[in-house]
Amino acid sequence: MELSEKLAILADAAKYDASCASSGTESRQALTDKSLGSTGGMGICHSYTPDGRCISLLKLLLTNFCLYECSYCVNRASSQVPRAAFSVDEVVNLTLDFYKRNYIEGLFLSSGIIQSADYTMDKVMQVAKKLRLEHGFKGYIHLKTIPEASPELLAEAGLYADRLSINIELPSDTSLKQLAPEKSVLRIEGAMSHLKDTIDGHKLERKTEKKRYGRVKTPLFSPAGQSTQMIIGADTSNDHLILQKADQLYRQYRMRRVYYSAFSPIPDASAALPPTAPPLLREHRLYQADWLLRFYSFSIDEVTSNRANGMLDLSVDPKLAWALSHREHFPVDLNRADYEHILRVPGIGVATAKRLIRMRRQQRLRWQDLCRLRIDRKKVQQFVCVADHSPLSLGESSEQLKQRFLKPAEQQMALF
Amino acid sequence: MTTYTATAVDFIQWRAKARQLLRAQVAPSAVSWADAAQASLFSGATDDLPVSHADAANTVTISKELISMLEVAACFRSSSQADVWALMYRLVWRYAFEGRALLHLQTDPDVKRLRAMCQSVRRDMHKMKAFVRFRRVAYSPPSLEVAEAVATYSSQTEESVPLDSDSIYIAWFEPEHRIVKALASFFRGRFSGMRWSILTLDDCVHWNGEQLRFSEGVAVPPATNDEMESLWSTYYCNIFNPARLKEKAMQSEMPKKYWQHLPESIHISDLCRSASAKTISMLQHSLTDPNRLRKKSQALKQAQDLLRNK
Repeated sequence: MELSEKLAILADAAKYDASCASSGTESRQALTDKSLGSTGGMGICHSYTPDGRCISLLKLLLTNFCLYECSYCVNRASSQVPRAAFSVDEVVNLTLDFYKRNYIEGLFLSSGIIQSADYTMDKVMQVAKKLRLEHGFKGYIHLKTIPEASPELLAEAGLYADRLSINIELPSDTSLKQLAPEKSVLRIEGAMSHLKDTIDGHKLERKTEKKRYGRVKTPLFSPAGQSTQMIIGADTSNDHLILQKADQLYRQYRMRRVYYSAFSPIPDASAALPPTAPPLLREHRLYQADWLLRFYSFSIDEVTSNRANGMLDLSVDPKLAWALSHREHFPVDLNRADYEHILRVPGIGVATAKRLIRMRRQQRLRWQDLCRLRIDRKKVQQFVCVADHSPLSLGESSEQLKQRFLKPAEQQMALF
Repeated sequence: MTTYTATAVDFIQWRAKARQLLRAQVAPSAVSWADAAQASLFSGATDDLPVSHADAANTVTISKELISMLEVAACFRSSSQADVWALMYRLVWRYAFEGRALLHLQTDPDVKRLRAMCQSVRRDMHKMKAFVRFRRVAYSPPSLEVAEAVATYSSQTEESVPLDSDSIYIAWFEPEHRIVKALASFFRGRFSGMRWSILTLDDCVHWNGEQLRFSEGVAVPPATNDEMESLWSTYYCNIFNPARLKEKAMQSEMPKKYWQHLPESIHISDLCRSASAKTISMLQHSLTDPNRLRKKSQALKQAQDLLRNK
């Protein structure tokens, strides 16, 4: 099979992995040994596809042959999609050729399971090893790890990769058993725990060495940490359950990111899981809720409170939904309230809240200052108090207030 | 009141002149700035600067934050470079008297202008790091196109052999501001092991594995092509999920003005047009039995048993 045909098949098979970050790792560059590659700072998106997603890393499957039968996956054993397999050298050369032309920041490599978990993991690790040791590649490498593989292989993979990830796929154990019979939640979370321990162990070693000897001998292990992905809409789990799972993963395994991937129609779907239009708006709300949990000190109950079926409101963002159902906390006096309360105001984000705190040290905040900071006036006016502005009428019911935030088409829908 | 004139072509020159003026405590209104590039076309206008007083009491410290903002703003492409130099000197002068509070004044027109210029230049720099695309050209012996493209680049003695000794990677780009010099070290740090050149209308930068060299801008992009671009286009078209079409999001991050540099951009309109048809066909495609393989192997086994029992 021609290289371009393989590339078409194996890029097509890799598109359902949402992760594309190329940031969060150590700063390094190739000048010291005249090799290739640099990382550090913000990631760079070298291109954008018409789905609005950025192309930062070369996202490939080593092969899309697979022994497993996961109902949601385009590469499952019973699927009739065309199959292909790269050799280790082909992936290495493709990565280097694309990198030299500044198309990519690095490589994101996954694989279907062939022969055995160990065999596949070893092949995936060989690619990263060759790039790092033979070619001195200093760009970004993200490896998908197979939880069933032996710990020694995982231990070596982390020495070459900037980030390792294992997909949790589904938020509940029962749905995973039903839709992915070869996978086990115990093994997946066990591997995540093991990764966390290894990452922490290396960090601690390096810290103590630096302190004691001034130089560091222990190598870095997956400096950008680990991440994971959940499929939304493939099972009956509600948003509350999904967010609970994400929260547990963040706390217990120190995940850097949990990605939510709307269950998308695939070229050859299984009868066990018929395709539907991807729930993109639901995915969007979940990301917004995820941000609230991580950066706005919301608790899960607050985010999904007042929702009878545990599903987020699709018509407004979760922060506004919370504000509308907790009017007793508003209006917030921006000149007096503390940081956490200011963060709760719809229309004020982390950066703006910090700026407001800095500004009010020198002057009393007025309505003009909010406009200058480019805060959405329409959103904020009913929820804040400043020196020369108070909400117009506190008597307005939450339903009426909500109407004002909906777009005209949604307002029509809400009436019926 | 004596008025002085000062010319500068880049940040380094401006900084030297500004230091002199500041030490002599010359107010901004008493200086007339000029763009050295422009000035040389008309009169041979030279500087008229005060005599420098090596006076320790007159030293003024400027915060790192302001200096880095000024360095960035110096790259801004303005219709009147002289105004930019004058604005920068005004800010330095005011900083000397008003202190750190200057940069926190949200409403001051000078500060607003500086911040806007910095934001524009920084965004341009980020986009240039993302959208510069190299094309590989065979190097030895250098073809005519390569020789033309890197006309002023003379091969010095190259002691260390770069990673890719038989090729040179050439890129053409049109940045909005004059950021080539500022970004040279980024590209050097990333592509240290290969020979490369970035050509723009204003400046060109070249790396031969040893040294960075700058040269005059070129008017026309070099005629080069690269087979790897078709592989890249294949990747681009296949990594796109047609069930998630969001053209506006793509265009806001990848404005059309950059599409000329990106070989994959010619496929964008086709991908958009065929997206909904592809999604519908996926949704309507007949579903595969998950036990298809098991049934197949069972059928095979039965057929073999039949043959054996014959």
